[in-house]
Amino acid sequence: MAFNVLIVDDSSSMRAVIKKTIKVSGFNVGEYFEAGDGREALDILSNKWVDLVLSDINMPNMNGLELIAEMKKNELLSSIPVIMVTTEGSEKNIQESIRLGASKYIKKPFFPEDIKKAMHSLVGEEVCDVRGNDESDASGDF
Amino acid sequence: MSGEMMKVMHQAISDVMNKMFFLPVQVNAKEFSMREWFSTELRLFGATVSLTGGTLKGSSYLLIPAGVVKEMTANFLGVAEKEINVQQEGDTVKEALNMVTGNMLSQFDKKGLLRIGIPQLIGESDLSAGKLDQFNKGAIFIETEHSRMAAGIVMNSADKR
Repeated sequence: MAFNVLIVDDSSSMRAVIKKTIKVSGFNVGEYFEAGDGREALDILSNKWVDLVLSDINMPNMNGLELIAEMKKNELLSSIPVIMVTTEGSEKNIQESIRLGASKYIKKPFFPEDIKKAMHSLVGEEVCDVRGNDESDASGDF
Repeated sequence: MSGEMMKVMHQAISDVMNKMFFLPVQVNAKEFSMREWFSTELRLFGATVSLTGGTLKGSSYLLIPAGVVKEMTANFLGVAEKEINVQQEGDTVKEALNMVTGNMLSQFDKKGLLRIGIPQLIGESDLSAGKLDQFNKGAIFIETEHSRMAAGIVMNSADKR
């Protein structure tokens, strides 16, 4: 079954790279939505059906941690899994993400396999195995 | 820049340039002025980002010749160089700096005391030959296969004026 993905990052290039990575990983995505910050993401989440969010942390207006906090306050959004895709790799930020309810984190720079592995563990669906290797050191479970 | 800091920055730059931009790099350990280093480059892109936290305040920056930015952007987005626009090039430089800085901080600021700002492009006038030496402090000089770039980090006490 196809699922919808929301990519949140203030860099349009990074959004394009993440989208392309998901596409080549063979996931059955119905629609891709994109937002440049947490506020735009909340607007989309309130109007569209989204099954999975991939979000940066460091963004203007509303950052990724504030976005998760807002999602957790809303019972319609609180169960949507969120993968943090971020340069913010300090233990403090990772712990804060965990506390707020993020499902996974991926540290930039990442290999395409890191995105694939994190998504696979959350949505459990793919149609092909690009590298045939599930090992990765850049992504982590919470 | 201390030897340890230079090592961390070199590692961060290598990691980011290799993984995201497919661009092998190496550090030139000699000292240069920025004007010397980029003496043959006609046009540079630059980005800077603020770092704040506790009693510290500073910034990091990245300077890259236009030709290298085009190559990086094409590799990053997976498109031909002729399809790239200037906004995408600026985005690439900002994102590269964001990743280098975040990667570096995750190694020497494990408690997450420093907060990274939003990367900003450096205006063209601040990248003219006459003004380039303002970036000499805290710089490291990086060679690519066919070109060069520079990065740096400058930290001060927050109450220092």
